Amino acid sequence: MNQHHEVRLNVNGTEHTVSVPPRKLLVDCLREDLRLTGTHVGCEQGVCGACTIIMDGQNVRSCLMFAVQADGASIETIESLASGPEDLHPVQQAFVDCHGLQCGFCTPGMVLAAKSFLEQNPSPTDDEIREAIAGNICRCTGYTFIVDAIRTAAERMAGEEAGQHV
Amino acid sequence: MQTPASFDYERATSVEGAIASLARLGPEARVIAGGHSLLPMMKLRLAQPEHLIDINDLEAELSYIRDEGGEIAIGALTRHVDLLKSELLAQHFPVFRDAEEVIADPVVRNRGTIGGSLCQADPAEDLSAVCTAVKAKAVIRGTDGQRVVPMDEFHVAPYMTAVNDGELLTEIRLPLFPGAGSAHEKVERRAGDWAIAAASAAVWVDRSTIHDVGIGLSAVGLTTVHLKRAEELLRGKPPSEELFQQAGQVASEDCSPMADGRGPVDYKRHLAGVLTKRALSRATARALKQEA
Amino acid sequence: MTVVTGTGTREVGRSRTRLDAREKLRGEAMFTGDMEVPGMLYGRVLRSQHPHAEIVSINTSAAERMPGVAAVLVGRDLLDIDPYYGHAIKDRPIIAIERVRFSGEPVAAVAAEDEATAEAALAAIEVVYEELPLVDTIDKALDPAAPLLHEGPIRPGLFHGLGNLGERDGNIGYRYRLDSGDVAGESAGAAFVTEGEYLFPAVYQYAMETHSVIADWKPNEIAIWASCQHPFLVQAEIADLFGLPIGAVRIQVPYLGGGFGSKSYTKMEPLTVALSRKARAPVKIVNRVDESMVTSRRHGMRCWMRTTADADGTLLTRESRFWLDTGAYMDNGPRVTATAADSAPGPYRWRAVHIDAMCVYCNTAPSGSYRAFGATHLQWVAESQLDELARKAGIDPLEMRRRNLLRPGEPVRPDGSGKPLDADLIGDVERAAAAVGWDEPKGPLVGRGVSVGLLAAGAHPVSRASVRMRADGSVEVSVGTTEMGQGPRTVMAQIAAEELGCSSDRVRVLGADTRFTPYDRSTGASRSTTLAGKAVQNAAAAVAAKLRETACEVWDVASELIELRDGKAAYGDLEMEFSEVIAKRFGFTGGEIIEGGEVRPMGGDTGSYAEGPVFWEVCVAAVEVEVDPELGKVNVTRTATVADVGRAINPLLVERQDEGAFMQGYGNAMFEEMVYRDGELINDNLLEYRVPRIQDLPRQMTSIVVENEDGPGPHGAKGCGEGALAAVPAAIVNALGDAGVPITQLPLTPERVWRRLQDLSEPQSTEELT
Repeated sequence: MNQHHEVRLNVNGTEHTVSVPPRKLLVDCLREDLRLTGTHVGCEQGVCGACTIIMDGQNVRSCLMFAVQADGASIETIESLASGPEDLHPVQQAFVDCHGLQCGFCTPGMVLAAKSFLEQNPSPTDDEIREAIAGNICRCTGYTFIVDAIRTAAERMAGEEAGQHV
Repeated sequence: MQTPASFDYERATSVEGAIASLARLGPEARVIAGGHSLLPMMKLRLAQPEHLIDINDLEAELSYIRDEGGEIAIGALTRHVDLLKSELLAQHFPVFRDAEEVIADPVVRNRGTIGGSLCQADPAEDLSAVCTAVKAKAVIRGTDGQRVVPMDEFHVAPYMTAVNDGELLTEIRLPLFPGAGSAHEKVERRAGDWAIAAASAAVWVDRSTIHDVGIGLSAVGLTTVHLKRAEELLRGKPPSEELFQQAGQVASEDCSPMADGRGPVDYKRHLAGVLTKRALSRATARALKQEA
Repeated sequence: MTVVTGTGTREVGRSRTRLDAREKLRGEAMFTGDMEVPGMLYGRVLRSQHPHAEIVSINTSAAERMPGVAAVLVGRDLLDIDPYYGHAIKDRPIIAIERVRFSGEPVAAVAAEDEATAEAALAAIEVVYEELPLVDTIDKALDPAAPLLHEGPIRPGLFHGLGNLGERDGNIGYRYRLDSGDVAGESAGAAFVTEGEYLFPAVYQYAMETHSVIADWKPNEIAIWASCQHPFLVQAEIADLFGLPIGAVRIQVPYLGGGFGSKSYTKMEPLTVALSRKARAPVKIVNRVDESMVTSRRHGMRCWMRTTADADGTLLTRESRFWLDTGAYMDNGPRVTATAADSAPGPYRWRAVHIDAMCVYCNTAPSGSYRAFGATHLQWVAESQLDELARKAGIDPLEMRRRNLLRPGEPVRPDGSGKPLDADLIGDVERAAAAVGWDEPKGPLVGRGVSVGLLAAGAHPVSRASVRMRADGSVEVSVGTTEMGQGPRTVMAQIAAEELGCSSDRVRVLGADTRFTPYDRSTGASRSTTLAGKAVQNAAAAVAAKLRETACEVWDVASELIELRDGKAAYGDLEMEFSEVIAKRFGFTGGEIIEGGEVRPMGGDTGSYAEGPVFWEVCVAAVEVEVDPELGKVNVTRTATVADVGRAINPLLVERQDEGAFMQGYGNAMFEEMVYRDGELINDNLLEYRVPRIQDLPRQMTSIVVENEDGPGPHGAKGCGEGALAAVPAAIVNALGDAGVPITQLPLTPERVWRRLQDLSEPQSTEELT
């Protein structure tokens, strides 16, 4: 039992092969084997959303998946969002501008939840934004500035889109 | 860090293969789909399977919601998010959308499946009550072929179902009859929590009379509660708030809740009654609107 | 919503974006759990499952033999030191010695090459316990026949700051009384009397990052990386425990994933150091959530209160006795108890007051600081009695407060001691009430409530900081304040930049490293902007003075004619970049200006701090609720909180803080509750310990920032971020009372509200309510 498996992961555009026991959680694999510590371990029971990543285009809690289950998957973590070492993705920039964070522990999960949501729903209502982050707990804010940030990001990205098509 | 006990892992490539593995490995093997109930239990060592058979690659075979003429068939690996978004389901059984809107949160709904929910058989789980109300049947496959089990026979004890070792739940079937309306009502301590109590109701109305009815309750019994006596009371009568009130009274009497961190017995009984009444009322309004 | 009165500044008063935002958003910000030190081992802790027991024996030999295990620590490893600590009272051993006093108390700890090995080794340790009688509730602890959890004389800790601690009385570990006037005489002719018993639940701060520590013990130096709010107090306690000079203990504090008081004072650091000492290697311990929940929490409370008023609603007397469950060890219990007592009278004029506050040992996990401690315990009790008197007297609750609230300059403490009122409370509560539509018509199951209170803020006013300008004109601020989300790095940069006449973009604010960072007492009690901020302002002003000094020499003009602006020294049309000023000062393209700033209780320009508290933090809120009587569900529809901050250095940061305090107060009132069964915490996870999610929050929340420039901090600022927590439960309870459901126990679970409605509908019980 507990025989190691070779697992192939495409993480943030880079192919990795890691050798893990089946019981190793995906979040621990990302943090320990790949040293991507932007994905946080919070409640460990799938409630808080601090470990949220994007797997094959969908938000997933990396504390509720084994690394072996992700074999062959494409994963985006918070470290992938900005295109260059100094850049910020429009969602990240909106969080900066709207003060959509405080301690920063929930922030990577919150940003990834927002990013994949906006890809599916580029012009959301506030109700839809609230529902989109219903699985991400923030203990510092009252969430309103996070909603502001996501709305602002949507508006800016829509503006860019429109600009490109003109 | 919470670490589950060690286990062997196998990824199924076909339903047949999964069933063969389950048959070979026996009682120490568990199927993992979304894993959102199983993993937390494994972390707390409340579950220590020696083998996990991962069926997430079987979406082509097991993930669908389709109209098969006379019934709707739902593949066991269909995710909550697909149940929530399905227009076909919303048209025939809006109770699914009602329930899915209050099940956990979007990220859980991305992974969790209907089969996993039913097989986990947590008495507080919403979809079991929904399936009870709409008179669903479960299709269970083993090496010797498949059998079809009504919901009443599906849940045999808390966290135990009619799915035996070496078998896999593959499909849920919902029979279609005219004049249907359905609704789900839930009270929870916090958004996305397990229910303190929840009620699912489906009614089939024919010329302003309740032709048939199904009611299932969550979190107020050892397993999902099927309110047969209340159904009996309603069948063949014209719908009215007074009648629903009586049905609610029966619900309070016929459920058997236990005190836990979500609430004490008397409050849960009370909720069972109020929620049954409210679910029947909304279900009937929907049925009458359909009829009209 | 911001009410602005101050002007004339360039950096201060602007909502600069957070200096730490980019790092945190890119996933680059390091928390303690993300860090690795060469040669580091992983620690896990074996915790007692018994709440009260003798340890008969511990057998660690099997665990020690396991491959990959470096060390197993137990109580007998600490015979060579005095292993007891506690900043208020030294009552807690680093690890259990001979006896366990709460379920979850560390009994053994393992250091191993990875966490899974350490975890497996825990299972191989055999502990034999002999159970002792359980004292798991306040009532049991107060029974004269109850076993005593602690015996022998009290040993004061290094930082209790409470004058005379007094002697233990049975299981009452600390007692604080406020007495003024003749309560019996003054209340004898009262027209209206209200009296009741109240229960407040133990709750958990729930910082999302759990307590995390890396410790590296060496004979002559201890290095620690820790998620701690008060690194300098931890440094001193570790030095005291392990017999080293203070300077030989180095604590570095990375970003904290929230604190809220849970990481105040010393927590997991001594155990991690002791394990490192045994293993002779650096050790990292990262708690699980269930472990952090037995590391710190807020006190549960039982309270009795009686309040009287005369026929026109003028308040006469208040009496209260209350008991706080501090758990097995005192932690910050004494300070919480004293602060609660200070909050019990509320900001009103009284003829007589008698408050008796007791802090009680029980076989539960230790309780310490949690945002707005003490005030949160008492304000909802005190304010609900005020509303009850208003209802009896037929006076609008807002009018009741107008008639009785203290005015600025009036003494707050009934005995007249300490700082007089430094805020416009009537203005604050009127604004809050207006924001929830106080005078609008409302339906039968809708209620509105307000609440007003004060929180003694600032803790002990000792803060130092240094500001350093490098040869290129860039600036570093070194200050001990911990960045745990509240935004001090950004605020300190703005304060320094204002003084220096440059943009805050040019300023870096460094995290605490006790080897280099000047002393700051603590990060808590809403003190950072006011006190550490003042120290930064003073240090920056001293750097500015040096810049002016050199510019005067260069231009040969009086220093008061030199202006510092846009990163330059200027005199009329003459301008010099700061880098040029420094080059002129040293005659060389190097050098630097480095200056310190200080805040202390007496002397200098800090005289007001001596009066204590540093300032009174305003706790004001208004709330509207709607009740579903069939289900017992309370729907909070509109809320308003007031951040009365004197001057908002960064208005958006103030609103964030206020809103965050609102959210936690809302959680405390509506959802959160630590549930114990026979001394065991049974909801020690986020599924069953219910922190609010976004879908739980009201749809209309207003944060009102009030700036009257009446604070003792930089530019008239005073602290914020706690008041709303204390005010919100009180306002919700009052709104519910207004809707016809007076409540005497939190949280407001649907079941509790439903049951209260059932009781009220029974004829015999309506009498006692009138």
